[in-house]
Amino acid sequence: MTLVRFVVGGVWVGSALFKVADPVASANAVRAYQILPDSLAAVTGYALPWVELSLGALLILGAFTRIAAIATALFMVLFIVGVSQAWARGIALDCGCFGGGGLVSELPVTDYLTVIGRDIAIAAASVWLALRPNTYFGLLDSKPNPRPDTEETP
Amino acid sequence: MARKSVKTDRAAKAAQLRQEAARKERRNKIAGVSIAGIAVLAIGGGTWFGISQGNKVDSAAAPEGATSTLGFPVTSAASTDGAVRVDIYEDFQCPACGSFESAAGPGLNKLVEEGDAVVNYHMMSFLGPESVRATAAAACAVDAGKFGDYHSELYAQQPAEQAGGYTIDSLLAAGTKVGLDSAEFTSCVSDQDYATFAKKVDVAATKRGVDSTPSVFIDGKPYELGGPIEDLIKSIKEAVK
Repeated sequence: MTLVRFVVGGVWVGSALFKVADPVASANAVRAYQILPDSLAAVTGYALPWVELSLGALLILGAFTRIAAIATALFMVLFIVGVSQAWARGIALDCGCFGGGGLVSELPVTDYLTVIGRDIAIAAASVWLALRPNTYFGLLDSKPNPRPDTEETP
Repeated sequence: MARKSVKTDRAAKAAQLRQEAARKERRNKIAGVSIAGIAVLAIGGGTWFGISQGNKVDSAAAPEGATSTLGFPVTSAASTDGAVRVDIYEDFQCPACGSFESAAGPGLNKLVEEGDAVVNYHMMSFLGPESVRATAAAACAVDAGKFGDYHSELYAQQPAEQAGGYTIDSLLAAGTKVGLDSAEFTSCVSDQDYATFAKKVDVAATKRGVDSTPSVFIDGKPYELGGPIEDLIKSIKEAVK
């Protein structure tokens, strides 16, 4: 479980780091999904990398693990919905999952199934983590000391 | 005596443990509030940074010759108001655009020369910094009135995708080849005057629903690429009537 926490957190931080430097491209990547009205898509694109970075940091630190894990699972559901609707509507899309502009330079395009499968895997891991948020090396949510309890009751 | 001392020892130890637990809880509370605060600040600050960057792109000036949709027009002496408007969305780095240009370029140029069509090239740059440099340089060529030649020249020497091509030096050398060697052009390319504008083209294209390059619109209507290039030329000619 401790490993799951670090892996999911690491994926968030990794994906965020590719995006924070270029907020305009991030906004455009959200726009490419053609779901949100323009101004809302832009703000979502600006905020998303920082939300991802925060969730990743919380998971890696082991703080508010349950909340961060539930949020991660919800985001994965949203991402799956976004990718699926683009797929269904025939929008050529580079998912922009790990940065990039969300556009493609030639067909064939993104393997939508791979993206969705990856999101499902992360969502499943997050749900598991939400059920058992106390793992080792956590700053706030930590497993109790694994040594036998030495405290004496008077 | 001995028993009593053990008892007080135990009580003291219990009190100490309780105190330690309370201290730990307090510490965790402070850490929790700080961490939550930092996260909120990061998200807020990051969003604000994004909005300011977005505004900078929105207010970036386009070259004077660009169309209202940020296309760079290729016209000729024969161009008239009746010419068909062809909008083409490309990225200087995209390999498919390179093949498209080598296949369709001559035919499109002929249509322009004969006054049948005006081609507006929307030079996107979502493939990376190489594309941004190339688009920014192309905008300088628009200012100098030689975009058409420069566009063809850049595609003729298209570098491998995302491998550091389209350096300032190579962009200047390409300009020299088509007679772009003025001091204005050189400083415009070297200083990347249009680098911020380049991103604006991507935003405008995405808003229009362009999802891949190359994309072609004839008279504002999307044209499905994939068939032979002769079909594209034919479709443009048909639109002339």
